[in-house]
Amino acid sequence: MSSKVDKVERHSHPPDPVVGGGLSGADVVDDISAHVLTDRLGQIWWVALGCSLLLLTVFAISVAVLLWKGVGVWGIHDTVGWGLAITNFVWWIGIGHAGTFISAFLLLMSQGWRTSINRFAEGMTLLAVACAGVFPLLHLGRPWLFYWLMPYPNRMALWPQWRSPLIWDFVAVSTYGSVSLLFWYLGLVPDLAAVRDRATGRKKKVYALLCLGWRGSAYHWSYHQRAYLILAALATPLVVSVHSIVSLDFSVAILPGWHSTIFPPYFVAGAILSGFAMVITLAVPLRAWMKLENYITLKHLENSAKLMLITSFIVTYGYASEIFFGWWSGEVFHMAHLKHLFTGAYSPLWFVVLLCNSILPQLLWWRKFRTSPWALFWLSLAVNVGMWGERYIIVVGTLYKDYLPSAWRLYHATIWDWGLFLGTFGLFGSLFLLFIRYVPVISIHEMVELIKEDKE
Amino acid sequence: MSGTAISFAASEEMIEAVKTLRERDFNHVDVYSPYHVKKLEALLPTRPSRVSRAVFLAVALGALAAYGFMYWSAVRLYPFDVAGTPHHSWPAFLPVTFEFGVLMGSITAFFSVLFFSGLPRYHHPVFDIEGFHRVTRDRFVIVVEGVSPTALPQFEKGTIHEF
Repeated sequence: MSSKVDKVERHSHPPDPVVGGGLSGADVVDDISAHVLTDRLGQIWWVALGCSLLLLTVFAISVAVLLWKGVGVWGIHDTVGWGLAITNFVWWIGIGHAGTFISAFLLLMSQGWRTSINRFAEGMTLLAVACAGVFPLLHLGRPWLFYWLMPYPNRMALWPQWRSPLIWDFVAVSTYGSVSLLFWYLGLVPDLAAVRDRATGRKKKVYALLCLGWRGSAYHWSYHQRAYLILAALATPLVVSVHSIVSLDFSVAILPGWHSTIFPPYFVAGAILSGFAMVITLAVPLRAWMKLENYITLKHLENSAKLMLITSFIVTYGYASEIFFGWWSGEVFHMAHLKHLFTGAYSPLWFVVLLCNSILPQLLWWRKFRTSPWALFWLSLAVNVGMWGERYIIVVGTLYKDYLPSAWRLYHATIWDWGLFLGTFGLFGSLFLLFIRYVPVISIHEMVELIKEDKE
Repeated sequence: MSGTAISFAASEEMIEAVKTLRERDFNHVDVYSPYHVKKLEALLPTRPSRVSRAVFLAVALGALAAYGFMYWSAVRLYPFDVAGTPHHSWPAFLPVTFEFGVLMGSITAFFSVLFFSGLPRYHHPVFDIEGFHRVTRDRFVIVVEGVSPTALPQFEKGTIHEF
């Protein structure tokens, strides 16, 4: 008993509510469906969509040039065969992980607060995986032959090399994308029905088709909720497995800076760190713009900030362990790799990485910082940059000086590398804007249930 | 399909009514609600474990098929040596086994909901019940199939519609 009293006394601030504004279930239904059915986002939405489509054009041009001329238009060469493309792939796929963490893992842990951010975090995951998938596909050189990665009977009687992490990666990422899509859509079905029932005319017909005729019968719900829970249980190990497998693409190779057993957990922590950073980057402007402050409350931002702080420590531990074991091995090339990390051509970026991923997140110790949305926003941008830098250091920082000093060569990304990277922001932005305009951005039925449970 | 619909504003009243109906042996009872009312699981013969069983089967078969296929292709069909590792390198086969099992399980989970619920179905007679659109907002509607309102017990709060 006494410990409980202590706990209450230590919290001098009243806890932030999960749902603000004293909303009732019916208010939530009306409010969120009105977001979808009426044009509340105004002209800014069109301006934002215009900018995103412009970037999408950059994407299209970069892809077209690449397909026309080949991967030679990129900065990669014999020494650094994995340049910006793989950096971007790892970065984007990492971002997706926070969405799955929120929607699946926190559901299993019965964390009610996840309800109002899970839908848009899942949307973020889906789009981030789509952006990620573009890079390895184009990096193949002849993307139209991507089906060679799949096992299919062919006249050469060849099968994929199952002992290679690259094939595991292909299976893991395509599974992750498919499972995320199914999980997202299953959760969306009752909400699309709620929109259908508020809509009129042609919109009603469209949403009636999209919601697959959902009626909200007790039998439907019992199957739906069971399947949703099972999907969460199936998706939770994917949070860990996908980025672990991505990290094996690196750590199975015997290069200094890659060949390390810390890689799987270190990659997973980095993924969740960058993912929560992206959640905050999107949530802070979104809640101000769409007036979602009653749904995405300070509690959600603070919890995301705490998870960023924890994962930042794990990532920092990864850095420390890499440095320590490099030194401990005493191996010439490994020691040289460490020296290049701190004094070589890419060392300025390495210091930016340390600043963004290890030092700046220490600000999150202060509650005041954790509950200031715009301060969090700027920090999350810094972490996004830092995590991208980390992947660049991992890819390029290791490859540019291999075991053959005569082959050492710097890597410079070309305009087409950057064009494709910028372009994926266009892809992400356009689809995300369509998503927040035409799909309930807050999970309606889960919110209504949460409000009901709160009252009981 | 025809029958009687009774609409309630509060879930507690609806649950009481369902209890009464079940006690009096009305078998074709369904409840339409804006969210999952957990208490109904005990009152109506719902069978969510059908989904669990289907998924379990799919995960097991998916994983087995993936492993079996890798074994067949790497050991029987086209064995080749890489760095002296055995043809049957079972630890290297596990990631794909796991992922494929999860994929099959997820696809089954999604489609089993549709299959067992009889969806997609664009229209259904219950949509013709007056005020049925409020089920996705704040109403709980009990539908008793094939029974006219006069044959039903009296409820204090609910609004009755025949359809």
